[in-house]
Amino acid sequence: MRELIEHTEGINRLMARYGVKFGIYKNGEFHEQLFPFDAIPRVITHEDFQQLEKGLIQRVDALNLFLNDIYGEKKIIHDGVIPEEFVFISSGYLPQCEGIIPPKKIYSHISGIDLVLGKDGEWYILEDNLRIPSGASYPMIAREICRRVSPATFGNNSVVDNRNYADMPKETMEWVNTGGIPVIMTPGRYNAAYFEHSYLAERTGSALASCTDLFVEDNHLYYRDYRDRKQKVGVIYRRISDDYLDPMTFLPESLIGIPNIMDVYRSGNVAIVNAPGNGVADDKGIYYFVPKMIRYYLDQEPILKNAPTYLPFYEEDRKYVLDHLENLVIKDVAEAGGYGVIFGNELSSEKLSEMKRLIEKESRRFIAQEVIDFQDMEVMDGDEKVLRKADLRAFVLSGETTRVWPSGLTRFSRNADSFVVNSSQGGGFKDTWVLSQWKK
Amino acid sequence: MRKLKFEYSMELKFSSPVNSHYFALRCVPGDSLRQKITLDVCRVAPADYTSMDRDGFGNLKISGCCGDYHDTFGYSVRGLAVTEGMIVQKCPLHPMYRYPSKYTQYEPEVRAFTKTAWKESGANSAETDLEKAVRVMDYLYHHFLYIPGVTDIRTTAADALRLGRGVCQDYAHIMTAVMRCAGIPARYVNGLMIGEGATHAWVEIYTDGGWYGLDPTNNLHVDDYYIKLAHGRDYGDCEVDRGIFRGNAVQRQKIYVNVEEISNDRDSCVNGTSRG
Repeated sequence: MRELIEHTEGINRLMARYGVKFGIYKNGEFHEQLFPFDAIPRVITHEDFQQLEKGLIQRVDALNLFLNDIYGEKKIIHDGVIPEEFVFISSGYLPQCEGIIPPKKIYSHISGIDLVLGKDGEWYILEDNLRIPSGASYPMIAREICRRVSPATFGNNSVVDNRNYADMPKETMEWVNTGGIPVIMTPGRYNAAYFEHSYLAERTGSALASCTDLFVEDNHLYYRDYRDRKQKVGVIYRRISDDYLDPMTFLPESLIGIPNIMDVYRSGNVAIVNAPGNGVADDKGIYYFVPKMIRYYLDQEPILKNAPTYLPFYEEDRKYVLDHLENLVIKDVAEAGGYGVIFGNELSSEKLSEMKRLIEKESRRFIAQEVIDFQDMEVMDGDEKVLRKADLRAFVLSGETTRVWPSGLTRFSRNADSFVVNSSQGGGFKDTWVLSQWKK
Repeated sequence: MRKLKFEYSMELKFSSPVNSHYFALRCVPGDSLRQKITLDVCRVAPADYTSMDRDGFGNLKISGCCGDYHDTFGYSVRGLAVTEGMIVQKCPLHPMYRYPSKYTQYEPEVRAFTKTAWKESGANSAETDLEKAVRVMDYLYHHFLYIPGVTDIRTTAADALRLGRGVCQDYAHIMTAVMRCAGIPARYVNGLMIGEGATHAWVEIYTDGGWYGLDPTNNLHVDDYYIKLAHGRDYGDCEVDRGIFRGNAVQRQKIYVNVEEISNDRDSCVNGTSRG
């Protein structure tokens, strides 16, 4: 371990050379920055991981059933488990997807579930990301470099190998493939996660395509290769958001989409990973209802806990939220990537009453959560070990079966006072070790 | 019951050739309890291919592409519609028609208009939802000016209320927003109407277990002189014609709509007048 820490600088240098970068937009300009790596790993015991695995599989299975239900029969609404407005006002709900049955009935193929470890030793789910969760390639490539820098570390610790991550999306893509080549579609060079798109394409044996390489003809999707031959596409892992996916169905001004791909998809002639319309299930307002979904669809008790959450939409919760606002985290359900997260204790009394008015006026727009007392993690700051907030993004792959990648992306805040760990907000990352059963 | 002969054609002329032209058209009326359609002609040209399917709202949609350079594009739909007027088409309500959508947000203008329309029109004291809707429609008809050229396809219900004038699309958006805001599910409808030289827009409200059509632009119940093309939460969901192409060209569009009644006993035609 010490050896790894001593090599932190070298590891980061190697990663820079590999192009392990993260793009952010600030003031309308695109900046690419390194995603700083910290050599002290997060270690998850075998027993702890088994429990996590069960809980994550249960959660993602329920979310997939929910999506099938919402764009189909809507039983969970008819049975009064979720109030309909939470579903149908959500910007992630796309009526254009009504009645579509995706190949193998899978909506969320690659799910990124964000968790934190509380001081009580319990994992809490922070949010579900079922649209285009990024980040798996960072720990994958970090591990590769770490193993090279310090092979002994991995000889002395029984760490489950995570370098086969790409096999999992590859198998998922093969499972839903409708008969054609696999493609990873990127919005291009100036996307926050472009590094990951190209890396995954290489590792999953997919063609890396941009919108100009893809087109619809006779209700099938085709890829035009470098020799101008057209090849039928059976599965597309698209890394652009629903809004921009098909200018003929969604935003007409989208220049990075594929016109009429939604027709191909509706006809069952291509699988889209992840399915359009998933945003309705990872809406911050719907989050509150996920434990209810697990009970409703699976008839099981949720294994993993949600962070204690209140919906101002319900009068009782609203009263609690308004009375305890200074101790709560407020999240705007429409925002992503750590934006729109407000800590009540950081607000001036003026801002606090402004927030209260807003919550009363637009109660559907916000959720409020208790601040979880999460375990801090050790991070190297120069030669010094300091404690920082960190979360874990677990990757869950749904194909023939649902599986959890035995690793994950541990992100930490570089700022001592900050709880926000998103890479788009300038945090760093760690490797995540899952220990195998046999301790040496 | 009426027999209506209809024709709907559109022609686009580009000032210079364009290519990679993709289109999605909702220009073909579908069968329902209200209308039985027999198509004589359905032509889209030029096109490398076309395919017809239903969209997420249940409307017929033709999609396709013309890849090569071309300087005209158009479609033509002709056929016969056997229509029934003023009936409730029973069907389960999709909850999305209860909530505000892109063009029908409950902005202050919408809330204010809903409140006054409800009070002034006497809708408050009406017994059924349909009766309330008819009274509000009458109020809207008399308090909103029909003036073309002021609004465009991006105008929302609130924008139109601010302006106080507009065309059928605006009447339909305001009516839809006001109905939903007052708790009556409503949806936006595109279609053809006798005596109209263009496509028309109206609304359907959900009442008595089904959808019932009202035309606020003309203050009329939707009877058997109307042929429906498509519906959605608002205009954005059910555009009759959406297209994108490559090229730097100015386009000129010509639309021809004709709906005539075929009398059962004689061959005479009825041709009404209205505004749209």
